[in-house]
Amino acid sequence: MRTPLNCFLLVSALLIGAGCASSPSVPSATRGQEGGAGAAPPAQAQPATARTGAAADPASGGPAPAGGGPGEASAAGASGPGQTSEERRAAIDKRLDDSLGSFDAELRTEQQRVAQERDARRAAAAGSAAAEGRGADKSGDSAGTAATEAPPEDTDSSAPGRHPGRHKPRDPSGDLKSEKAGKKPDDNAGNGASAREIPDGSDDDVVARRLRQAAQQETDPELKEKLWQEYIDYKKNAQGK
Amino acid sequence: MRTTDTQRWGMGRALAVLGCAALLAAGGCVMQESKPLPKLNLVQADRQIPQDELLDVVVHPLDAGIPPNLDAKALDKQRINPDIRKAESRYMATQLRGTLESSGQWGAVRVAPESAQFIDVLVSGRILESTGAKLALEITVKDSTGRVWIDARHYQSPPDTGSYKTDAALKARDPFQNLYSAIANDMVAARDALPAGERRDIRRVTQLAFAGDLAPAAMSGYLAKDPKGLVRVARLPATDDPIATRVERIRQRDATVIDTVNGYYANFSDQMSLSYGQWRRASFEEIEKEQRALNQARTRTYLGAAAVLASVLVPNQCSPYDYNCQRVQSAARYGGAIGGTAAFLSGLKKYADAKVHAQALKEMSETFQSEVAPQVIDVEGRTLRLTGTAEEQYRQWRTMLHALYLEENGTPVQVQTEAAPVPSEPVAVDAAH
Repeated sequence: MRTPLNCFLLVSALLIGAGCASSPSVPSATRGQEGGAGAAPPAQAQPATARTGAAADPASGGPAPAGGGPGEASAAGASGPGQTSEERRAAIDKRLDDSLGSFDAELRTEQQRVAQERDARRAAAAGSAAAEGRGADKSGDSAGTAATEAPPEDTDSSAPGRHPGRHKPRDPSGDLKSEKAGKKPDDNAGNGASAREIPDGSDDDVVARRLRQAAQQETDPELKEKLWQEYIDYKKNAQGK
Repeated sequence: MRTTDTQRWGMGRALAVLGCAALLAAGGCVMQESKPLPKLNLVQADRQIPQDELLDVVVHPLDAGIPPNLDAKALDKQRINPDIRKAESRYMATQLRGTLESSGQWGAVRVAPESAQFIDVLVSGRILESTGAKLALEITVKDSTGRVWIDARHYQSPPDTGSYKTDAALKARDPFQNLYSAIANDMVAARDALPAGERRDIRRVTQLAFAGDLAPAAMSGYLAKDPKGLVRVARLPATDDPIATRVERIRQRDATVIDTVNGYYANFSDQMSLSYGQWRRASFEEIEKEQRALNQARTRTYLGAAAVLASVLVPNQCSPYDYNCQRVQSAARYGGAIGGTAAFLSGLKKYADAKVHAQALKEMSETFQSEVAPQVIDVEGRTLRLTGTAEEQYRQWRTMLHALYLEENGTPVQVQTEAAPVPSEPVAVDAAH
């Protein structure tokens, strides 16, 4: 009676050693009996296959692994022949974490870029607003009353009082504001623009409008000065006709 | 029968009046003034809205509303500039976003492309007409359960001309802010019509719909449609459900993607706002001048023609021997003819002036269009790149989540159809025996 059992054990060990086993773990019916049989740990994971391979018994032949799902699972988990389910899960979790981390890094880069562009634009706008403010903007009455309705410039809707962050704290890099945004650039200082009165632009024709716009948007102080002078001269000539 | 003196004087006066009216019309006395609009107040939140009822909103860039079958000339006639419209579709979405956010009635309010679907409240729309003189939009608002809050409603408004006075005024308040405020107020009204439970349901449905899309095997079955076709929560996952936890982590990244895209659109709107505002103002002025010129042209030509015809066709009312009457009648006829002719010619000139204003507007539009078109391409390119990257990432995450689900739950379906449990003694041993 023992001889067939020993033959079976021997064949099983040979097959396992040859690396034929690949199926997930199934409780081994022979684990308790093996005891000192010296079966390698991988044998515990694939006893069904071993049994199938040894006995060629159709009754004990386990079903083939499911096509898409487990196939994908092994692709996603990069499962090796000896991994337990726990290990595979941990591997997939790690890949998920790594993937989330690298995606976070990409998003951070994009958000920093967006923030820098926004800050640069606001700095330029602050400079031109300072120049305009020294101009004859006497009819700006609607600016004050309308200020309460102006849409907020901040693109992030995370004002704590109104909309407490619903999602878990996001990467704060999207909220980056360079220190320059808070300061008023002094590009007009010393270039004489402050000493000159810039006419009101409400009656500008097409050419004057474009000159004014170019002067407002120019960041180079010298060019800015020249453009404002062009604009003023043009307005004088146009009014003088 | 002899005409009475009264009748003769009456006809003379009539001719004289016609002639004077024609001259006055020629003098441009027919004028219309546009006045600043009264401001429509935005309904602000007057209390802290509970967290689980605070709905997030995404505004999709509007449909540019460019009729597909019209050629350039026909588009010109309708004052449609395709590149400007494309820019406006993003700009107006940003303006509406800003208005909604400033009301304090909503959670996170962002502009995102149509690929962003798993959001509490979605706003979409189409531009029907957009010039410096008029803005008309068609707006639709839905929530994540499929409930339609606002169904293709038309909003239109003339501009608040106070905003056109100076660049500072333009920057402080959009000329069509009333229109955005009207949309925002209507959304608040629609939301307030829902019980608190429904609002909380919307938030849950959004969350579960996102989870179901990302991990269909693990997260399906939590939502169902009610008899009205609205999506409802059928059951909730366990609070410590590992797949749900991982999905929530991915949802945070999704929110960050939408934030980033919103940043693109915000920068784009910032970049174009000054030029666009000036174009709008110029457009408004030119359209007003064109319209004024057309009105004057019509008035002058009609009155002028009437005066000329009257002076020619009214029969002689005076007796051949009544020299005074003859003189008055002649003067009236000459006055009518001269005044009428002058008015008529002036009217023709006004038609020409109207064409000049239309042409000036067209040139300004082309200049602005050439400035803004590359900016539109840039923002769309960046958006597509980021959303494309995100989509690819979601695909990979879907695969991983599915794999995790299978690992945690065993092989689906096949597990149930496997053979009976293995007996304690190997079959092979028995068989071999």
